[in-house]
Amino acid sequence: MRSQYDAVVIGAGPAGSTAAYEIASAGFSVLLLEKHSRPGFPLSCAEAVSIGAVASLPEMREEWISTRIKRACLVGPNQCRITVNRKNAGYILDRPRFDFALAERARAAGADLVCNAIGRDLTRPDRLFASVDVLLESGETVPVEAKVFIAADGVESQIARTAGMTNLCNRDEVFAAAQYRVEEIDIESDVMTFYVGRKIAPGGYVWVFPKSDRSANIGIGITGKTLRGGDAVRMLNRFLRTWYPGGKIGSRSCGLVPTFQGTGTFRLHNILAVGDAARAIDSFSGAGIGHALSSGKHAGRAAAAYISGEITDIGELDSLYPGRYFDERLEELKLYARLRRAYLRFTDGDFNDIVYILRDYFDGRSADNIHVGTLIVHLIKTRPRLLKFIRYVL
Amino acid sequence: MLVINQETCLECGGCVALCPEEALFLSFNRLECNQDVCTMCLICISFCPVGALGENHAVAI
Repeated sequence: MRSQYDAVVIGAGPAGSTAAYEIASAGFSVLLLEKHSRPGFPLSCAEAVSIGAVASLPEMREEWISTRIKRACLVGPNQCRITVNRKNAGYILDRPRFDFALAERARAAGADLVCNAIGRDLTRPDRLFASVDVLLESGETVPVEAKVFIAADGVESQIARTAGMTNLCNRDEVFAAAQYRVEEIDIESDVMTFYVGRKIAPGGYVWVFPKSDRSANIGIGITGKTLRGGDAVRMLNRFLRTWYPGGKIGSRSCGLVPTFQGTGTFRLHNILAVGDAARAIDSFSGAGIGHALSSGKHAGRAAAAYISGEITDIGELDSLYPGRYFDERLEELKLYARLRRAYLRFTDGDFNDIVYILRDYFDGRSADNIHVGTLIVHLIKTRPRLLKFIRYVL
Repeated sequence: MLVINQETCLECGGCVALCPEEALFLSFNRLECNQDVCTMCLICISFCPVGALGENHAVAI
C-alpha cells in the first residue's frame, strides 16, 4: 500500500471491485480496501441475479453459478400457488467466488487490493476531500491521499456518512432481513419461490432460492412501523417450522435492505457512492447485484474521466455519474419504488386474488418477454377493485 | 444505555445505516456504540433482524 493513489475505493464487493477495475483499466492507480480477510466473505445476500443484471460482465463463469433458475413460483397467504416458466431467468450465485473473482479482475488490471483494512475518516482541507485514514487490523491508522474516493462499503455506508453525505436510512422504509442456509431438504433446483402475505412476511416476502437440489438460501424481508427487534428471525423460524421442519440450519446472515431514495446520495464533492452505499437497489424485490455492477462501472469510468483531466470541474461529473447510471437504470428504479408503495397496501385477500388471476393468465403461457405493465392492466381488468392501487404505481 | 449482545449480532451493519447520531459503527468483526453520542432513540433496537440490541434500564436511570 502506497501513501498516494489516483483513487481509493472503500469496499471490495461487486460495486467497489467493478469501480476499481474500471479505474485501473483506464491506466490509473487505485487502492481497493476490504474490511474482511477476503472479498466475498461473510455472505449476507440471497445470491439471486437475473440474466440481465450480469449481462455487462464479459463472461459468466460456471464456478460462480450454484443453480440456474428456469421457473418462478409465487405462493399466496392461503397457500395457492402459481409457477411460471421463463427460459434463462437467472442464477443463484456463489457470491464468495463471484466477489472474489471480481476483486481479482480489478487486481489483474492493476488495482492494489488490501484486505483487513477499513477506510475511516476523510479529510477535506479545501473544496475537495484529500485523504482517507485507513485503519488496519493492527490498530494502526495510515493516511492515503487520492483525487477521487469511491464509497462502496455497503448499507452501513460509514465512509459516505462520516463525510457528510445525506443517505441516512428511514427505519419505516427499509427491509429487515434474515436468512439461513438450509441443508438436507428436498428441493427443485431450478425454481425460485416467493411466499407473500401480511402474516407470513409483513410488507415483504419469504424467499426460497435453491443452492442445489438439497439446500437453499431461505430468508425473509419485512418492513413497517410496528416491527420489533428480532421479528425477522422469529418469523423466519416460524416459516421453517411450517414448510421445512426437517431442514438443518447452516450459516446464518441478516441485514438491512435499503430502498431507493432518489437523487442526492450518489456524489458529495469528489466522493462517489455506489451499490448499497448509494441505496442503488430495486426497492421492490431488494435485488442489488445488478445495480452494484452498473453503478460501479459508471462511477469508475467517471472517476477515470476526472483523474485524466477530461473533466476539470468536479460538478460536471454528475453527467457521467450518476448520469450514465441513471440513463441505464433510473426508470426501473422509479417503477419498482412505486410498485413497492402499492404492495405495502395489499391485504391477504388481495394477494390471494392476484395469485389466482396470474395463475389463470399464465396457464400454458411462458413468462418470456412479459412486461410488468401488461400484467398490471390484466389484473385490473379482471378484478376492477385492484384499480384503487393504481395511484401508487403511476 | 444501549446494550449489544455480541453473541447474537451478525455484524450486518443495518443499525449503522439507521443511526441518526452516527453512534453505531462496525469495526473489524464487531459492532460498537459510542454511548456519549447515543440518545437512546431505540430505532436500532426496533430494527435489528436478530434482536441483538437492547437497553439497560438500570444504567440509564
